[in-house]
Amino acid sequence: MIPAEWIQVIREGLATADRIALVYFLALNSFYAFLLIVSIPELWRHWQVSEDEVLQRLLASDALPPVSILVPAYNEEVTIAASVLSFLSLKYPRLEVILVNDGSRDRTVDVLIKEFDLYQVPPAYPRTIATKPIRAVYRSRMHSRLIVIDKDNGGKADSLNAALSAARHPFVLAVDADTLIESDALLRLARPFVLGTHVAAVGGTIRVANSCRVEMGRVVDARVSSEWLAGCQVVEYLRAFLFGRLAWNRLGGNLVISGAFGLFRRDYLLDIGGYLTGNVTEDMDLAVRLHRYLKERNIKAQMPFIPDPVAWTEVPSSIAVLARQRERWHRGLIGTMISHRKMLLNPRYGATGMVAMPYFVFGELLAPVVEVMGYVLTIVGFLIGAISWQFGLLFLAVAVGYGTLLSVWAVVLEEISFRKYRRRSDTLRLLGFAFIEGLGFRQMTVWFRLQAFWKYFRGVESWGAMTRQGFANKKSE
Amino acid sequence: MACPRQTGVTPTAILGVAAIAQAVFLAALIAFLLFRRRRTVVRSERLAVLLVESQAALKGWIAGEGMIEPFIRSLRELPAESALDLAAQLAASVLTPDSREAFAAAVRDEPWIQDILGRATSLAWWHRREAARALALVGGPSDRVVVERLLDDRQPAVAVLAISAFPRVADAAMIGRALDRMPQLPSVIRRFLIAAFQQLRTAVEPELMRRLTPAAEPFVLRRWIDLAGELRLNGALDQAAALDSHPDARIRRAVARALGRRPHPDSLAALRALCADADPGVRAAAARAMGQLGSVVALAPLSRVVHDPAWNVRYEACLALGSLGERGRAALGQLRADPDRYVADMARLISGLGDGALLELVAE
Repeated sequence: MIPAEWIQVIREGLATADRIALVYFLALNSFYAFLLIVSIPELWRHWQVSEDEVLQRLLASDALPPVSILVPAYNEEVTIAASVLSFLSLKYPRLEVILVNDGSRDRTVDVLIKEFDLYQVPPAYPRTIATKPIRAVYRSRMHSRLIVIDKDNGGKADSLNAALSAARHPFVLAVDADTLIESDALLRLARPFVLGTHVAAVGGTIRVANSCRVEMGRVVDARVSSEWLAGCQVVEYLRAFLFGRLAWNRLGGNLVISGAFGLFRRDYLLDIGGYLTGNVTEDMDLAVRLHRYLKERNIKAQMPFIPDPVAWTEVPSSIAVLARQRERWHRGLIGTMISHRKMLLNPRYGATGMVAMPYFVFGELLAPVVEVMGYVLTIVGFLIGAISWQFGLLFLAVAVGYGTLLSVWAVVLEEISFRKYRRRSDTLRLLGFAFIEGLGFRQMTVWFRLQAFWKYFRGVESWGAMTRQGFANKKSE
Repeated sequence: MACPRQTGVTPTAILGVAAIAQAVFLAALIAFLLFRRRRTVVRSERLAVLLVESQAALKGWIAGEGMIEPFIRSLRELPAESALDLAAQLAASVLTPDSREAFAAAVRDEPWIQDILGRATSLAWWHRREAARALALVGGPSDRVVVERLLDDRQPAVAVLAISAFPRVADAAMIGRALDRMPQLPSVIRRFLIAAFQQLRTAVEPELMRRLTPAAEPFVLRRWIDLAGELRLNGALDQAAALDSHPDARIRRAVARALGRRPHPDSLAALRALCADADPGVRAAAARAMGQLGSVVALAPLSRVVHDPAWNVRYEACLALGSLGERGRAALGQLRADPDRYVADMARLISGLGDGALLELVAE
């Protein structure tokens, strides 16, 4: 029999811990609301510019800086030819495509040699960053702007470094081989140059391609998936990109520029030694190192996010793959934050150190721990009578409702700005998934992210298999 | 959290208020979403009807079956921005220069165009953009001051539209000022100004020639030499060619580029001399320019330049050879067996390209 005074102590402890969770929850969600408010003028500004037809003419000008597109590829024999063609046919005055075959075990290189009439050339560029051995360099007889590098397997970061060394142009666009880039997305991404902004990197929007109709490496009909797992991710991506990253433009810059679609100044990347091999989220690590580099050298260059250049990607459609992806992302976040802990709350790094880093540590990295703690304490509190059922239910309703409110707001922003999804049924689906997302999907991803702590401290460095269904012959629903 | 049972404001009550506020806000957002979608549909349908009426009146005028007035009246019925959109499309595609002037005279005093022209001093750049766009349609000499101010607008879209109005309003003094300003403009804006200068070539040439002197500041002079090449102004190009021994390598490079656009017997000799310049950038530009001249006389000098110690000069020389037709290709083929490994590698790289791929590289 537990003495009554012990029960009283447990109750008080639970109440205190629950209060901490409540304060954390209120602070975090208030910050989200703040991000949302800050994002509105940014969205308005970008929308005005993106709709400007004169600016579209400007963007088609041959005075834009030339860009090298870096494409790491591993076992992509089925889709590689269409992907390369879609990159080569992007609307942009001057670009080259550098595809790196990362020791694929399938026929990726053979397909490229046949489809693009490749011939072997001497590697006529300096190896500025050490990578796994290069087996051969090819050029195409059909497309002067295509270079293919065949190298031993070394991972995505290693491939990107090989491509970075071979790039001729002052700006590089890092993409995944299976990313579907809208034909004018690179032009839109180059907008800061037209507007005369000094930028170190620019990030564009990633959207969910599941259920979209894809032809020749392009999304020709944007749809919202009817499957709940992909549908919830559509809303999640909208929220993250449409107001999350936009707001960071005004709050110290983005700490994440997606590896699937990000434009960088090549000389800065070379100065920081390129991509870090061995990091499971090389894109976040790169963005943080770049921020650090710019601040330490007092270089006044921005790293903005622009909402209207769009690249589409396939998101996990099974819980197992989603679990691996989210665990890996969180493990990468932990690693990056620990590696760059010197920046945290350090005024030397300006808004990045004082606002962005604290948010990513306390609002993103620790979020799953606090959220799980909140759920567990609420349930235990119920069971031992420390929390009234009215309070517990209201707490859950408000917590879930807050998330839903932000998601619906993101849907509204999408509707009044870029309207990629034209059908009424898609808008209704988006609204539906905005409600569903807070009831199960979010809690599930919290659990996956929590596992990352265990794996990180055990020293796990694997990516985990990321199986995808592919876009071949995909019809819209 | 223990829920206090005492009276007054309790945490449960606060959460209750938050929940109700959230529900109201959510409902309002969803209602707004649905209302806005409906309104967008209704507005676009109404606009489509008005545009059809305008286009019918326009067809009548262009086909000579009616006067311009019904078309002008139909434009009055449209929202000012839509009327301007339609007018700008017409000017760019359908109207002849004469009918464009007739149209400009007819709409200049219309209230909607006056309203838009009045936005030239607005704080909102998209309003200034509309004003610049209207000036590109109806601007005249009396608008010079406004156009010059908009040319300096820090929003590039406004500046570009003001450049579109430039040929309508510019005089020699304004062209001179634009030439002086051009070198400092962002590269994209400069492209558009050069396109506007194309329409004013005769007026631009004397102003440009006055500026092409060795005493000019090198950064500025380089841009003016490039402009002479882009506009292919023979008088200005002759004057630029005389700067081939300028002490600044950037100027010599610009001269080499300009000579590639000057099909003149003296050009090849000057380029041959520039191929021996101390600066590899000048040598590379000269090699490329020899290819652009397209004369087989350049085969022999280019075959020597491919042995240059700088890789970019070898690259440009091989590209130039590749662009000189069959004889150039044959010369490249021979170079593949050259005992100098670097020459052979470069010849192999370029001669492997197909015709289309080679053209892509030459055009870069």
